[in-house]
Amino acid sequence: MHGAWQRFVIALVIAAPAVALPYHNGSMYDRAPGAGGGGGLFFTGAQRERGWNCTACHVDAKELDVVVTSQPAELIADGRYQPSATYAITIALANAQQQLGLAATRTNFNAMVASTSAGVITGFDPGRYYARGTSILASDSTALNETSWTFSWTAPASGSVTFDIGVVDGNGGDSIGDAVAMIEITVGDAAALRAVTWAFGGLAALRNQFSVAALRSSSAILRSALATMS
Amino acid sequence: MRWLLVLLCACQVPTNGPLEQLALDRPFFDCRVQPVLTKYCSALACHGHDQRFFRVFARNRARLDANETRNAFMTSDERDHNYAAAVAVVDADDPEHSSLLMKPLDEAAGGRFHVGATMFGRGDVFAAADDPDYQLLANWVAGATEQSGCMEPGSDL
Repeated sequence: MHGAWQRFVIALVIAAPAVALPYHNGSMYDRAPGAGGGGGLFFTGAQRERGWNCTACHVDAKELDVVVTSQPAELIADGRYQPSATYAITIALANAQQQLGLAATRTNFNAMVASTSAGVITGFDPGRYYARGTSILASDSTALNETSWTFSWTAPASGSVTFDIGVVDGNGGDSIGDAVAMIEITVGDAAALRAVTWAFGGLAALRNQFSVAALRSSSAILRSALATMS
Repeated sequence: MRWLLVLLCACQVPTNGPLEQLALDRPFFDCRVQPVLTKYCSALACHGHDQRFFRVFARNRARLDANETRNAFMTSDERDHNYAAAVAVVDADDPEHSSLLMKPLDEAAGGRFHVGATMFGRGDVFAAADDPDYQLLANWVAGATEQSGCMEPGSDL
């Protein structure tokens, strides 16, 4: 009886369909192209990746509202950082309850990639993320239906910094018809922004330093930012 | 008069015949060129798209058989297709200026217009011809060869 049960279990394992999980592990971006990996391309949309982003593979994508916040809030809300300060950055689906794929018959994964042009990505759960050096982070999508991602970033001493972030709300199927948000946020060091404010004589100049350019659906971020600034 | 007609026919340049194709090294393609095409060309919105003349199949990208598991090993049919597709965009009369080399090279570096450079708004695949991956394409077109047993890195994983 015991032997028969063992055979039954083995048969089940063999019969289980292979689940294709392309790029749900962040390390896939770093694997060799011959292994189906990205060869070091993370598709964050950054200049160093020639702007390639999630929509290169997630075709026929729907728009996605995403909210980016920071703690302390000044980094994202005001677009300024204190030199060498560390900030927690959170990226979240604006409408988590309406995410795609909840009713899918296949497993539903969402994902996030982020890169920074300067500073250091310092803090993240190694069980949930894959990092390339200290400037690129990709979610590992180990959990189903993830709707937010948080990591820490330590600012450089000075200069303008650009974050490029991509979020995919998977529909539980292949890479066609997911929802995608690509976001670019530029921030500056507080001292430089104070100088700009002084030079142009007003808060408006300071606000203009907060530059958010989203390739797709940045409305939620803009609403969030404007609400914070007003 | 008849001999003049014969002479004219003999001198006529054929316009509808097949173009000459170079016999470029297959092992070098499979081992060195295919990874470059996979990495830079084969995304579904790019040359993985079924409307592209130059279409590239690769693991985790477009597959020749739509029912193929996305990350399954590449099939010999897919490798044959990719080789033929790449050879077809190599100009036998002027290999150095083939579309395979000119299209992905930024116009500022001497390349030709490429829609792919405009899709994401931040330049073409290769900013300069000294990019090591670009050099692999250029070397192949120039006649580089590889041992027949050379295996594409990662292709057995």
